Amino acid sequence: MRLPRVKFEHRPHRYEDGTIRIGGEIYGIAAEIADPYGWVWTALTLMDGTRSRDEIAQRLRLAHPELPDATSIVEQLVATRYVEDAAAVPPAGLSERELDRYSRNHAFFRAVDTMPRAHGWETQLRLKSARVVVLGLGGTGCHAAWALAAVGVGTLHCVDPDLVELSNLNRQVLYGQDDVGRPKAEAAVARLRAVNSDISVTGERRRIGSRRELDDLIAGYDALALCADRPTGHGIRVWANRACAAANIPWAGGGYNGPLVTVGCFAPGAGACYECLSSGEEARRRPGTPVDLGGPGVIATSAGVSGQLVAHALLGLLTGVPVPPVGTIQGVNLIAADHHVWVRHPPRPGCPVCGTRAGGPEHNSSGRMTEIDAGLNE
Amino acid sequence: MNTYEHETEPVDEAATPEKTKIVIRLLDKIETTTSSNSVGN
Ligand SMILES: [Zn+2]
Repeated sequence: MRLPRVKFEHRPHRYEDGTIRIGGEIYGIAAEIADPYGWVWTALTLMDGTRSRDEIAQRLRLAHPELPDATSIVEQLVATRYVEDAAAVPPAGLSERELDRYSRNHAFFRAVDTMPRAHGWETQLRLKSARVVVLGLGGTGCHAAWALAAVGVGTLHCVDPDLVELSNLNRQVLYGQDDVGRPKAEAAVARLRAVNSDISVTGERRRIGSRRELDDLIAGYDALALCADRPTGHGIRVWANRACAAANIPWAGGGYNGPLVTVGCFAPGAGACYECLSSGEEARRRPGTPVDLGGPGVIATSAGVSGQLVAHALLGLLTGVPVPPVGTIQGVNLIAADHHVWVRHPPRPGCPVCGTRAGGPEHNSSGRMTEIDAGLNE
Repeated sequence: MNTYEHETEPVDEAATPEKTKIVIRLLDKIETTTSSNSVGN
């Protein structure tokens, strides 16, 4: 980092006792730094993008002759999420149009990123190089595919067997009245290309009827957005779990049951797999309780939240920004504002899908996931 | 594409002199804002 600068949205302020508040006021970003001698405050003040690290350390030493190691203070601060490099230039991999199109993404990723970065466009570049299959182009899939296209996932492949019906238009955001009777995959691809011509969008009208077909579908892709719910029971979700584990790619699956909207977020080698999580849920339920994953009653808001949660989970899975809640199901109940779904279970020992980690592919799990896994062992 | 290439090297705490170790404490839910109204749209 050549010219450290505290990120604008994270700019610090000081309480009366000298404690520094940095990173704004959002949970997950905001922090406090104890600073009894004022060393950190001086260092942060000097980090305005006009000085090198050496110059900052030098001035810090002058301001605080008693400070044992000014360089260490500077190095610790530039290793945090709150500092960027004022000398950084946008990377060559993005066009002027993309820099403009994704300028709000850039600001968002910059604000929520937990890591210091060279130029702040790393997350966008990862998205640009990502290849994602969206399986199912109904209420969830339409919103998920739109969000993934809008945010700039470089390659999207959209799959659905059905034709657009009038009753889809209450929630399926990619279609208009003129599309009724048209294959969803075809209409969705046309709409997504119109939303973002800086990415590659393809599609096919196809029904996935077996685990093997899903293996073939996701071959060569980096992630799966599972937005289909058929076949139900031990059907498409179990196929997705196993196919993605075999392909060593992460996936997110969403859906709604009336007003209850949930998304599961999974990655091989990190946290519970879908089957571990769902068996944990089955064990928690009273035996014989009927499980209904979806019905005919749905409105635009349920579908929208569902698809957006899937897309958001995938952003984290693809880039680490934000850190994805791997091995969990989260969601909201749209008729009970105080009901926030947050499900996690430990991986089952001996799970045939995720329980053979010693010989399986390795992923580095994030710090936050480690925390969750540790919490489960308590 | 490696999905989980997000980690940086952990800070070697032993190499940092005790007196200049900065402690950054992420705030708790209750210490942060619960309203996002009128911040953006
Ligand atoms: Zn498992």
